[in-house]
Amino acid sequence: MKELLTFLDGKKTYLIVALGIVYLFGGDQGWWVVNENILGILGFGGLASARAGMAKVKTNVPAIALCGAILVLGVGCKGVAPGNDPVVVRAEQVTEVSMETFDAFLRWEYRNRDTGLVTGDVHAVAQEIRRSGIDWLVTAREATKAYKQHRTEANKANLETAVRVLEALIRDAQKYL
Amino acid sequence: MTGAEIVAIVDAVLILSQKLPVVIKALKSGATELTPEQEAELDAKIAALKDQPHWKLGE
Repeated sequence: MKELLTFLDGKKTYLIVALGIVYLFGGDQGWWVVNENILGILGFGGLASARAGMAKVKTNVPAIALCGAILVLGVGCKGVAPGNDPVVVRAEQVTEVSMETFDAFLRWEYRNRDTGLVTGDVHAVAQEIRRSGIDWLVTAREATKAYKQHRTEANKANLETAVRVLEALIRDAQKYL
Repeated sequence: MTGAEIVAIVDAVLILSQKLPVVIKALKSGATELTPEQEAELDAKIAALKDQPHWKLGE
């Protein structure tokens, strides 16, 4: 038992996220019915409502990938170390996770355009991210730097707006998948 | 489900499995603000996206 606990040390987050993704994947494939209580037990209660909103649209693996990223965002909403500004920490987290999510989604869409899974709507979302995604990320970075340099209310408002845009883009992308 | 779609699903799982450690690392270290070095690294990653083939607008 001690060996098992030692082995799991530092891997628990990965394990929980992997379990959540496998659970959602199986649900989407029809292998079992996704129970919101189980999502809650896994610590992904917030995902249940997001998933409910997706119930009427065809879901596929990119959606699950995005769910995974959002799910991870939820997992990551933990305490901020003393002396650190939660606004900055959150902005930097969202920027980095958004970049990885956009990149994963575009890579997948690019490689699998010939399959039935990449519909016109999926391609349209991907093209929109290609057109503007880097600008959105750069805007968030510039707002973060401005706020770190001068922590004024105006700069804070700009930064929070930039972060909300990135968060909304990930949520909106889900609707089309 | 066609063979190509199954391959696409496996591809998505592979891509996600590659990204997950990076994302989790970002969030684990996210309890603190990024250092100037980490900020520079993030900026460089964003700047490099435009050179990636899957980021090209194309048709």
